[in-house]
Amino acid sequence: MPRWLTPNLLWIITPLVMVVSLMAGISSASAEQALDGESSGLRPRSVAFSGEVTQVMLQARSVVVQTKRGRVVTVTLKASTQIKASAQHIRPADIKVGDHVLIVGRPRGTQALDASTLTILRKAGQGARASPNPKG
Amino acid sequence: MQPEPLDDLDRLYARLQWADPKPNLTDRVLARIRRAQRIQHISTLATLVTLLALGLFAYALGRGLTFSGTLDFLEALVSNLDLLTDEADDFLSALVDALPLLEIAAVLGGAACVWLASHALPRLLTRQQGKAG
Repeated sequence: MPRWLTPNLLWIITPLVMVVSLMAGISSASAEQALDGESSGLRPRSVAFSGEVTQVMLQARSVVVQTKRGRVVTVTLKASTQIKASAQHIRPADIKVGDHVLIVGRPRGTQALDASTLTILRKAGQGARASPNPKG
Repeated sequence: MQPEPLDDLDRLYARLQWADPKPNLTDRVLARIRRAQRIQHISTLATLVTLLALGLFAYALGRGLTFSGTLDFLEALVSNLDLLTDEADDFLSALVDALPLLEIAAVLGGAACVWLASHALPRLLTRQQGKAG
């Protein structure tokens, strides 16, 4: 062990370096996303985010979702997409503008995403957990 | 004035003899000090380098957590803890899918390297030089 770098000091420095760098990375990525949307940061792997539905396009089987950071993402609902509310499957028609949703999927292009799962966390105008449509 | 009677300690000291130091004792002591300083120097340098690498890995992890959507996942989890009870399977499998595993592994590896450089490396070098010397 280096003389000046005592074990006690290292126990403080190591987590400090990790936390500061982690926060710097998060800040940097968040700023990047805020500047030019999420295009530059998206990876081909799955992503997940929550946001509010601002538009529902049933013909195109897609919904437009605005995240908390203000990003606008067009989410495509494929046939294999799991659409759920309170652990029950629902239809795309049950998604309404204003619903708060959690989306998991793979990015396609700059501001689009193929959803593998869309979960309604809160229905529009509700503070509590979403309840599924009995017709769904 | 009566002289003090001899005790066990006095008798023990009386039997001690001066030992002739080895001719190159000073050189050997100085060489050992220099070796210890060199090991300390290497360890310090390695610790700083691994700390720097750890910082870079943690920075990459921060970006990975943001871009992969893991933070959104956690935000959603905090705002809706029912996810863990009602949809634990879906949520956890999706969360694992979104986790930046490479960056997480890099940070864990970096932390392990810091420990190796600061604790294991000096011991290893000291042991090796002890055998060599």
